[in-house]
Amino acid sequence: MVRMSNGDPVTDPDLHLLANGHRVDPNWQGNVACFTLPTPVSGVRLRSLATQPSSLGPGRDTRHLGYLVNGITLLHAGGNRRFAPPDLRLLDGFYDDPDEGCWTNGDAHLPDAWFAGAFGPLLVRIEGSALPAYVHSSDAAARDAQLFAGFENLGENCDFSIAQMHFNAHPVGLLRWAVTTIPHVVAGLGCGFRGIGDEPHTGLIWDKETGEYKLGDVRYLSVHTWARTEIADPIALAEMKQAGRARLRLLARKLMADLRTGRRICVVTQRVGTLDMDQVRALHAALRAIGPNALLAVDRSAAPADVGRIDDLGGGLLVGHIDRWARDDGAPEIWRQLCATARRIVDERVAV
Amino acid sequence: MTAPLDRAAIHAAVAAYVAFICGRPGLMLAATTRLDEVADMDSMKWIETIAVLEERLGVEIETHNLDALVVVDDVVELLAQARRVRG
Repeated sequence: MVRMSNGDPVTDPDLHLLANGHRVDPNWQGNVACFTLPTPVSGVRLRSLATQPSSLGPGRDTRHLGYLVNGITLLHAGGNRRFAPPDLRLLDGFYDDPDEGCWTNGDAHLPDAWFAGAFGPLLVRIEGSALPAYVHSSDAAARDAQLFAGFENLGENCDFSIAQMHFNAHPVGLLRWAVTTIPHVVAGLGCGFRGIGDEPHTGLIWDKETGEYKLGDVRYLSVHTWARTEIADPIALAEMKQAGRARLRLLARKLMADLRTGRRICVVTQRVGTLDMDQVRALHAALRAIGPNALLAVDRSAAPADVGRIDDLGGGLLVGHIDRWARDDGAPEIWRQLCATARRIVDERVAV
Repeated sequence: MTAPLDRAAIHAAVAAYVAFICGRPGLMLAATTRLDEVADMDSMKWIETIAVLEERLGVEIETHNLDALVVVDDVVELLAQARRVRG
């Protein structure tokens, strides 16, 4: 489910850069936005709100326009470089516009090659102008929600689901609010989660630490019930267990049906330690045995320079890099970058 | 294959079960009640509602429809259209 919300127009374009997984806000010098970045730097994105001009007035332009860029200048100890609109038009996130400036779509990628060899403090100056107004939530937020709804969390915990929730995406999934391990997921996929919720493997346990009932099938997973009050009545407890078991069965059926069509990109992150690539490859193989699925395996122990990067290992296996939990500062921005890149890679492959 | 299920009976079953899990007996749900606006309910509770009703009614829904539920009547429609009897 994707829940939409509407917002009033705002005049601030919220122009910023995303660099090494961190948001960087500008110092304004007139119409020039000046950003100071550390080096080395990679995965730099020029981000802003974006709106369809046709939603603001009588115009017919239905493109999602972010910021009109007239030039980008990089200044560092190794030298200066300036990029004019003809240099931008074919880059990811810029419209191929014959006019004087070049519009972004609100999330434009500045090539890593621009920043290779830069050392010392790096100043990025962006000359340009904004739309007269932006509709804050109905465009950009709806696109984010749609993007994140196209991913399926496969564990090992709820961290990615929290990122989805941040962007108002609520896709229904068996492992969305579960704790598990990659080997348990592989085992489940191998047999279609046969018998999930059955006795004697399934138990409803009061978790004193979190103050919530957890429903677990020892062969596959443990899931939230969101029931936060201890229940003394054994009949009510049995009803709750029965409902939870029915939910597991329905969602297992749904997961397997979805995987047969490859309609979502699957995501897995490790709970502790580093990502075990042998386990990831086993999971990828299990997914491909079911359908044309892509897997985004995200290592949460990334080095700062790798944050936000995706490695395409081929065959629908992508490895992403992040260095924090979804509730930490800056994490949603990194997840958006990872998911947007993954979506683009997968869609391009399908188009070919 | 079975005949379509009776919509009025399903609607009553949905309302009754939602009232039960909300802890508010007597709660009436209009067909146009948005699923994300019912207090104390999140999408997982709706899935649980459907899962339980599916088993009680002996039907299996087309699972891809779970992504598109917006109002209560969608749930009723989904269950009414369920085609297969559980084995």
